[in-house]
Amino acid sequence: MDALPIELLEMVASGLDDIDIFHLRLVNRRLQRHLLPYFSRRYFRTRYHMLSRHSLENLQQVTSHPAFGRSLRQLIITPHHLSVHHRLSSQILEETQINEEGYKKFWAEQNYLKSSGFYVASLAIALSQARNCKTIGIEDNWDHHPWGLGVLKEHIGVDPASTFESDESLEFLAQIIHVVFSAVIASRTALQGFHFNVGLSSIPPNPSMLRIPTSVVDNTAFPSMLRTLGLLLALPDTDATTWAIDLGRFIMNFDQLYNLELMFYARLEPQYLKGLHEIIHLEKLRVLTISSVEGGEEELAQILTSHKATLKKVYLDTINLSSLESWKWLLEKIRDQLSLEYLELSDCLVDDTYTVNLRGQPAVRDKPIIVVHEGEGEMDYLIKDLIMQSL
Amino acid sequence: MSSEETIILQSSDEVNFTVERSVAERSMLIKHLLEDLGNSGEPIPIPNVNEPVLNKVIEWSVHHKNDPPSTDDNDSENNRRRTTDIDEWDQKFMQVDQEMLFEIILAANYLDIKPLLDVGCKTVANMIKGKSPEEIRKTFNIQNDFTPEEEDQIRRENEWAEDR
Repeated sequence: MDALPIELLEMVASGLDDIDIFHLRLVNRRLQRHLLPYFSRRYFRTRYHMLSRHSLENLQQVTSHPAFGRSLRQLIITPHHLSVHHRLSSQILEETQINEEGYKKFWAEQNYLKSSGFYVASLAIALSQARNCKTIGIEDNWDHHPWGLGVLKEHIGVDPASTFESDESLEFLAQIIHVVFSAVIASRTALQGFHFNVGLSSIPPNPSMLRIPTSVVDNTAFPSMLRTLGLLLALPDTDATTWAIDLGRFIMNFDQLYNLELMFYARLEPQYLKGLHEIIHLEKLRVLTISSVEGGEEELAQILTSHKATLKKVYLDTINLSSLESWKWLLEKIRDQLSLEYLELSDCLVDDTYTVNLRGQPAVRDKPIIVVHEGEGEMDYLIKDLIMQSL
Repeated sequence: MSSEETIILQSSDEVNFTVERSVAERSMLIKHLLEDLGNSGEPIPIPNVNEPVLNKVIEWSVHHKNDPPSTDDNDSENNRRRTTDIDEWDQKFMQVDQEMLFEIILAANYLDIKPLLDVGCKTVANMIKGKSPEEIRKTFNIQNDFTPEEEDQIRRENEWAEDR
């Protein structure tokens, strides 16, 4: 078997579970060497880490490895952390067996590492070693634990918090944002993509937390390199104007954006979109995704048409408008004022009662039902054949 | 009664096999060659595949000559191939000695017969699954040439890849 060429060995390996891959690497030098590119791609292209000593030290080891460090393309920092509120609420739950002493020790270490600058320094070292890492996310992904979570859990007895139920937790999230941007600038990482999605919490993170450290803003290189920005935010708990100013200002830090994804956990009302439209003017925006909006065809049209010179792809997802006529009006605006190459409507609704669809097409929720490629003719056809169907 | 066009394939050891065109065209290499150059009736040399292996490949191609074209949906490394879904006939077909198994895989790769290549790779993967490094060495008759230090380093790297 060790005589198989690399591409066939990789085909065999792609059918194996993790444990089998680990064992195969231990068979002999040739297999280990030939599996290295596959192993690097499979396990080190995207890494999930949290702000803890153990996790960040591992990230440094990974990035200092000649093959693994080069493989890293995307780094996700998860929001896992310890807090007093989390410790106290874990005590109450009967099914958890919190290790009080361990929890307090690691909570104290978390605070020490935060104040000592360890997080920024170690993340900056890792990024400076992983020169191909061009995308960073601050994300809570249920499918992927950050490296080091299991070890921390062994010490404290419970899963660390990943949501924000207290001011202390929110402060930690602000710290994560600060650490990531500070490390990016310190390491001179040419960041091209940034994603923010920390899930739902009792205290939803506010766009005002999305703040780039002043020193970073002064250095124009980093924000102007960013091409893709993806934000999944909770329902705003501030007034529309403040919310829009905070979010708009953050987005406008990245004035060379090519791809903007704006997604919301709850349906955003038109006044928020209106505020955002007044602030966002991205001269190079080609791809725009807007997900979860309630009403506001005029505001949607404003955002789209204010980028008509550059916009080529639009994804509208979970948009609820009041009538079929509202949809037709929006699509006519798109047809008349934009020159799109691609338009996709997914899970779009009329009055929360009907789904919009094309005549003769089966209605399937959660799947893009309307896709329009380049051409005014296709848009005419779409507008003419647009119907609403009962959900 | 009309009979299907036949093609002559010649193994590396110069043994000729006459097969139906639909059988030969399980190989994308031969299909494209016939599309580009046509069928002259002369034997098509298969220089990398000897008689016993070509015989096995033809046996597989005859059995699968009416299969629908495979969809190319397993390129993503995130989609782990399901190794248990080898059909019964293919499982029996692959019950050959290791040398022949790897020769079939190499021939399928050279002749560009993706479904046969898939079955071959899945068969090898099944031979590895659940085995320790030492058991894998025994199965494939491989010598361990690692130093203890090298083994330790690989074990550490494996830990970095685990969900810890």
